[in-house]
Amino acid sequence: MSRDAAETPLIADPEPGGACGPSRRIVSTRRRWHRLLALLLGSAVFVVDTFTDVTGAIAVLYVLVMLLAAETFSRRGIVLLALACACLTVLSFLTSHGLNADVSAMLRFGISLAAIAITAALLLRDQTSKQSLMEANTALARSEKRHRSIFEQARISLWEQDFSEVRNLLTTLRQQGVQDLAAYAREHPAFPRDCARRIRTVHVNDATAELLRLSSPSEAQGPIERFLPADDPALLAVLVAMAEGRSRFEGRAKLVTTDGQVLTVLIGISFPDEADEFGRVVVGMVDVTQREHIQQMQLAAQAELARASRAATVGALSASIAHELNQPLGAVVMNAQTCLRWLGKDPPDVEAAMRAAERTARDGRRAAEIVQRTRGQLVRDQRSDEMIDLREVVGETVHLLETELNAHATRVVTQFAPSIPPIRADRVALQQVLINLMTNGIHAMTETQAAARELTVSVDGPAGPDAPEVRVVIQDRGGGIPDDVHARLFEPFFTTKRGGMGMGLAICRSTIETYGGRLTARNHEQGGAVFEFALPADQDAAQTS
Amino acid sequence: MKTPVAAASAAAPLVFIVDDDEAIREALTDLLRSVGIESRCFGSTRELLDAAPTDRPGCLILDVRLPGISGLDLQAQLMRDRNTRPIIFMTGHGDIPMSVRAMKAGAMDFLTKPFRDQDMLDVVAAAIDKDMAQRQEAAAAKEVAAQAATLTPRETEVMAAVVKGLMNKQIAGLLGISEITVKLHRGNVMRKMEVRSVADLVRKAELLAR
Repeated sequence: MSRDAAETPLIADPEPGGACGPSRRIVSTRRRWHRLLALLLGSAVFVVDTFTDVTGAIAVLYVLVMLLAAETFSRRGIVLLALACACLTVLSFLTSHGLNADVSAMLRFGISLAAIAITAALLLRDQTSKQSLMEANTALARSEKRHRSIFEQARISLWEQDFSEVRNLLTTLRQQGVQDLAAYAREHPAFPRDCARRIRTVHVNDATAELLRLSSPSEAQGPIERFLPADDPALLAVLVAMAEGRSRFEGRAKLVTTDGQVLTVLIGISFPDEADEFGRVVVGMVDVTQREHIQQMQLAAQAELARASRAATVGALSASIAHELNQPLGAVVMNAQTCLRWLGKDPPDVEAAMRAAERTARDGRRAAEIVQRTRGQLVRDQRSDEMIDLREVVGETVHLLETELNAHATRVVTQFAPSIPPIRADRVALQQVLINLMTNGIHAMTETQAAARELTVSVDGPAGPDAPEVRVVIQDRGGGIPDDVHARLFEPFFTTKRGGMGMGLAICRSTIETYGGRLTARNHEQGGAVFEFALPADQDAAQTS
Repeated sequence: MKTPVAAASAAAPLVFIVDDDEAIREALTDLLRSVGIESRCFGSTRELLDAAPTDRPGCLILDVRLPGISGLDLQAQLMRDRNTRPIIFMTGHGDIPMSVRAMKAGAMDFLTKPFRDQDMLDVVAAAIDKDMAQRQEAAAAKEVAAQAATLTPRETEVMAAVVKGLMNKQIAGLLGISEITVKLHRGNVMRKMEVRSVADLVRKAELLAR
């Protein structure tokens, strides 16, 4: 009787605010059966323990009662049940043995009590761990839900992509001895495309569907090939990053929407550490097409402005040269004509003719001096020399040409020697030289396959103590320099470009020579043109450092 | 009366050259000397204006671009001062708007350096001829004015009527005097103006009217 009274308020509610309706009813029905069974079993054990002469620790069977009832009781209920069982055991013991029990009975009594206590402790611990497990589970479910909602609601385009097939492919290639994936792609032009077919989109968010002009995110599922333009070098860059085992990839890529528009996106990928996680790689993208477009227009406007101001400068310069030169030239012509007049007289006035001839020579020399001076001014005028690390200038130039490089789907590989002495020159002038040479390289590769469009710019230190100079080598993978062009390459006004002025390389060479260096061009054994310039290292800096 | 020698030297043409380039000045001077024309050089328009004036016939050879007052500005200034000496412009580079402006303002010619010597000499000769003619005309006008100054007011009235082609009788009626008095005045006019025929008188009256 007392047990029933104790039970009622102590019933555990394993799912607070959780299940309801039929399931709750089923649970409570089962619980009732459990409790009934426990009650019966408990009574039976008590009866047997108290009123029969069965020797043995019958009370140990209370453990069964506790196990049966435990599931339906809270922690407090379990403690009370254990106490109840212990009380019954004591009662039975006193009833059957009285106060003068033998040692074995005492022992059995002790074992029973211990068993009840241990069971109670175990049940309590079990319940604690069950509860914390449940809490953790709930937290996990909540976190999963939160992340799902972040993924779905984010205004950034997010993709879950299955890279596992491509990863296997890359692993296989590595096992076959492929070290340089970029080189492999050059030999197998279809390779990046093949990979694009193997990368599958598992899931995308709404922002992605919007970006791709899809009516629902589920339409994005499947190989990503259809969203990638044919010659975008970004895919190969991603594959190279994967092959090199990098944990992140960040870069610029192109996407084709379902209505055929080509977008420029910034792309970020975190590659997982574990091989089996490559099945769901999260890729984030931000559309920068508009920004890029504005940037391009800005660059075009700047280039146009630069061209216009160059033209204006050339115009003003030629006008001033024309005016300056015209004076002595006019005098030269007049003197020569007057000289002829003196000689043509009858008799000829030789003395006057000589004076006129002398003036002719004098004014001719003056004209030559003006030409010399103007040329000197042109080269020297706008120079402001400083100590320069050529690696920095190369880096800046690559950055400046980013748009041009992207527009021509060209990659730049820079190779810097670990220690480069500084040189003394005008930073802007050198930048102009690099821009010129690199742009030439980019344009030379328009006929080259997209995957192979690679511009290598390397900066090397002095080859030895007797050649203290810094060398910069720019190598493209275009068609190289034809023999008939090679001889005239650096001549002013020689051009192979439509609409070109033919001044670029001529100016480059004179700039480099101004700083005591030299600029040469040759063809690479493996194809493509190589432009190399060497500038003397700054001796003072080399000694002090 | 001036002596014939003084008159001859005063009549010898003199060319003024204004150019900031000494080589050009020297060459031009020698070129003109080779054909017997005397010249005087100035490095700027200022120097020219500061120089003592001369009554010798001749012309100006100006560079369009000059330090300080430009050739074109000098041309405008001389026009305001009623200096009719002809101007020949030179320029380092053919500038069409500038040459149009100079020619409209009455320049003799506009030569682009370097020019043919003969072209320059021809223009200089033409300019000197023009200046001489202008000077003769001016001198004649001056003489006529002096003659006209000697006429009495009545004689001046009679001359004006005669030049208009009126007959003595008409003039008498117009001025309210007798025909004989008109004839007397008319005789005095012809004498004072040093003319023998009415036609000559008309020509002199035209010079006066200028």
